[in-house]
Amino acid sequence: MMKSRIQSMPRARTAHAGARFSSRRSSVRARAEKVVGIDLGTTNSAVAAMEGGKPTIVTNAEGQRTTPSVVAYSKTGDQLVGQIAKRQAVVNPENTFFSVKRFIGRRMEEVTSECTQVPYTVVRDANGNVKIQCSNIDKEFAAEEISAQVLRKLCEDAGKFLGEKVDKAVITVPAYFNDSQRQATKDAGKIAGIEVLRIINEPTAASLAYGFEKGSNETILVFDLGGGTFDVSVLEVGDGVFEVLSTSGDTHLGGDDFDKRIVDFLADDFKSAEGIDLRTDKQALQRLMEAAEKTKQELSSTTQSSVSLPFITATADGPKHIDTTITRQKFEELCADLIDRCRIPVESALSDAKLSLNEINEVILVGGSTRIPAVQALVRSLTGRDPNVTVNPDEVVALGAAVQGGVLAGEVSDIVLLDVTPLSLGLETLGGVMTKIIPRNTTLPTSKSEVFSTAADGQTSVEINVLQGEREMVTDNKSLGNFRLDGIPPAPRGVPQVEVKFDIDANGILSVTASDKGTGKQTDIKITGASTLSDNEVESMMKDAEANADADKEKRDAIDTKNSADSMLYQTKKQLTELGDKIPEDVKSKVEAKLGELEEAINSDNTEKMKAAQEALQQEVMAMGQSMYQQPGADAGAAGPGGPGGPEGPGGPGAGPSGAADDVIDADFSPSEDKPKDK
Amino acid sequence: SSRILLIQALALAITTCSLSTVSAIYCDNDNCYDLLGVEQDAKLRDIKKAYFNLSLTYHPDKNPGDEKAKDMFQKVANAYEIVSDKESRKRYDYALKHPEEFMWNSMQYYRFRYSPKTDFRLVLLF
Repeated sequence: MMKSRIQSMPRARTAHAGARFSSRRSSVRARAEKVVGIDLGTTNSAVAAMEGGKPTIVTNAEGQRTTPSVVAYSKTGDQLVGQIAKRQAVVNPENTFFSVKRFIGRRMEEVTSECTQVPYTVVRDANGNVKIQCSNIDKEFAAEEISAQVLRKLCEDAGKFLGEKVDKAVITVPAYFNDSQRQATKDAGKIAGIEVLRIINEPTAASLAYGFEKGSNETILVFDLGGGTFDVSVLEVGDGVFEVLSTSGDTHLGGDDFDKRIVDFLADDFKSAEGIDLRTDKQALQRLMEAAEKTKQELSSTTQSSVSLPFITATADGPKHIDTTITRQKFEELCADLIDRCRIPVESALSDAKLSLNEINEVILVGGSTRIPAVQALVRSLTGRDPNVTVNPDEVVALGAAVQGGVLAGEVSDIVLLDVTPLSLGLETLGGVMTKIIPRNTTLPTSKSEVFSTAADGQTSVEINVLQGEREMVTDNKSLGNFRLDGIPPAPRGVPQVEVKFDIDANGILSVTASDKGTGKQTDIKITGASTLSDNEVESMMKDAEANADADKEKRDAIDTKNSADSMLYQTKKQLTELGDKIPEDVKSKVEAKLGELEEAINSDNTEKMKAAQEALQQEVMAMGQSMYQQPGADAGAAGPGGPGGPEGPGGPGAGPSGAADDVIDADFSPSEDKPKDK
Repeated sequence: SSRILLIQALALAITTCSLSTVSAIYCDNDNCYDLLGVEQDAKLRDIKKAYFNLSLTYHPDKNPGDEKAKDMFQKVANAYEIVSDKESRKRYDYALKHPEEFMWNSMQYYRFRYSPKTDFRLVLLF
C-alpha cells in the first residue's frame, strides 16, 4: 500500500541561468504589473513580491508573514479567512475548513484516509469528485472554492501592502501534484479573480530563492516536509546555472500526520481512563487537534510539553479534563514510522540523480515540519551533514515563486527557469501501443511532429488517442483525450500521410494537431489538463465569489461608515463642550441640528444616510471653524481657505477638503481604516 | 464499429527526407552545433553554458508573444537535447561525418527514439 504512494521520477530537469548573463532585451520591456509569488500551503500560505530587485515577503492585513489556509463560515453566514477563521475553529469545527489542499483536484476514492482526519464533512458529488459541506450556509463547496477564498485574501492584502492591485500570480504546488491537482489550483486562482501566470514546483521555487544571487558550484538537496506533502529534489547549482536532477516524494505525508499521532495518543489515553472517545465529539476533536499542533511545535524547542484541556467533555460524574505531559521522546516514539517514511524518497531521489550521499554539498529544509528535531536528525543521518539553516522554511517557497513572478513580469532579467515535461506524451498506434512524440524531461515549450499512416485499406478516418505516461502499452498510460481526423481519401493502407503535431507551451498546455498531407485537412484538440471542474462550474463559482466579494465590500463599507460617523459625532460633541460659549449661538444650533441628524442616521443603521449626515455636519463644522477665527482676538491660523479645519479629521470616507491642514485635534485619533480586514 | 488505428509509417518518414540533408532528422536543416554557437568538439560544459546563455535571450518568458523567439528557443533546446546526451551526440556526429550512410543513420535515429525505454524500477513500484 505504502509503496504505491512513493513515486520516483528521475531527472525532472529544471534549470536557470544566473547573474553572469545579462539579457540585452530586458531594458526594452515596459515595466509590467506586479506579479506576486504565492505559496499556497496545506496549513499556512505566504506571499512574496520582488521589491528593489529582491524577493520580499508581503505581510498580511494582520501584520503576519504567513496566513493560515483556513476558511470558515460563522453561524450568521459571515465568511472568515486566515487567522480569524483559525481562531474560532474550536467553537465551529464543522464549518471551519483547513488542510483543503489535501482534497484539491482529487477524486473521492483517492482521499478516504484524509476524510477521516478532518472535523468537517467531505462528500462525493455525482462525478466522484470531492465536495465539502458547509452547514452554516447550507452549501457544498469544491476544494477549489475554499482555496480561492484564501487566494483572494492573500492577494487583497498583498495589494494593500504593495499599494497596487494584485491580480497576477505564480503559485507553487508540490512536485508530486498531478495534472488535475495543478489544474484545480489554477482554477482556484481563476475563481479568486487572479490570473495564474505559472504553476511551479515547491522544491524548484525553494531552489530559485536559494540560488538567487548564488554563484558557487554546489549539489543541493531540497527536503520539503510541509503540512500535507513531502517532496525531495536534488539540484545542481553551478556557474550561475542550476538544474533539478531528480524529484521524489510522498503525497500523503506531512505535519498534519504528526498532529494526528498526538491526537490519537491523547484520545486513546482518555478513552482507556474515562471510556469516552473524544474523536466522536467534533468540538473536542478540534481542541485536541489544536493542542496537538501546539505540543508538536513546542517539542521542537523543549524536551517536554504539557497538555492542558480543561472541560474537554462531561459525563454524569461531572466535567472531565485532560492534564498531561508529553515528552519529546514519547512524541518521537509515536511518530517513528512517519519519520522513517521520509527516508525512502530521499534515497530514491539520490539514486535517480545517480549521486551518492557524499556528493551532496548542501541540504535545504523547507516546510514547518522540518523544525522537528527527529526530522533534522534523520536528514543528518541520511546525508551525513548538517542542514542549511539560513533559509526560513516557511518563506523560501513564496520567495522563489516571487523570483519567477519577477521573471515573467520582466523585472528579473538574468534568470530563466527551464521547465520540463514530467511525463512522456504520445499517441496510440497499431496494436494498442503508445508511440511517444515528446519524451519526458523535454524542455518546455516544445513542438514535435511525426508522420503516420492508415492501418487498413480504404480507411477514411483516423482516431488520435492522446496519451501520457512512461509505459509501452496504452492501457497502462493515462488518456488525456481523443479526436478524429475524417475525410482521408480512400487509399491502400500505408499510403495516406497524416502528420500529427504535439505542441506544449510554456504553461504546459498541450495542443495536438492532425493534418492529412494529401488534402490539407486538419483537426486539433487542446488539452489544458484534467480539471475536476467544468468551465461552466468555474465560471459560476467565479461569479459567486465576485458577488460575495461585493457583499463583503458593502459590509465593510457599512462598518467603516458607522465607525467614522461614531467618532465624528464624539469629536464634534467634544469640540462643542470645549469651545463652549465661544461659538456664536446661531452657528452652534446649526451644528447641533446636524449632529442630531447624524445621531439619528447612526441609530437607524442606514449607511447612505450616515454618509450624507456626515457630509452635512462637516460643512457646519467648517463654518463653525471659520466663524471662530473671524472673532476678534482669535489666533489667526492663516491656513488659507477652509481654515484649520477643526474636527473634520475623524477620517473615514469623505474627509473634508481641508483635511491636510488639520493638525489641531486629531493627533491622538487613528482613522478606522486600519481596522483588521478579516473578510 | 471498426476500431481505427494508426500505424507508424517509418519507411514513409524516411522517403520524405531528402537525401541531401542527412542529418535533417536531428536539427531540421540546421547544424545542431551551429544553432548552439559552439564547435563540434566543444566540451559539454561549454555547450551547457552556450545553451543557458541562448535561453536567456530566446526563452518565451523573456519574449512574451514573440513567435520567432519561441521557435528559435525550441530549435536551440532541441539541439541541446541531441548534443548533451553522450550516446545521441555520438550518433549525430557519425551522421555528420558519414552523410552517405543515410539509411543506417535514419535507422539509428528511429531505433533510439522508439525503442522501449521504460524504467523497470517504475514498473515495479506502481
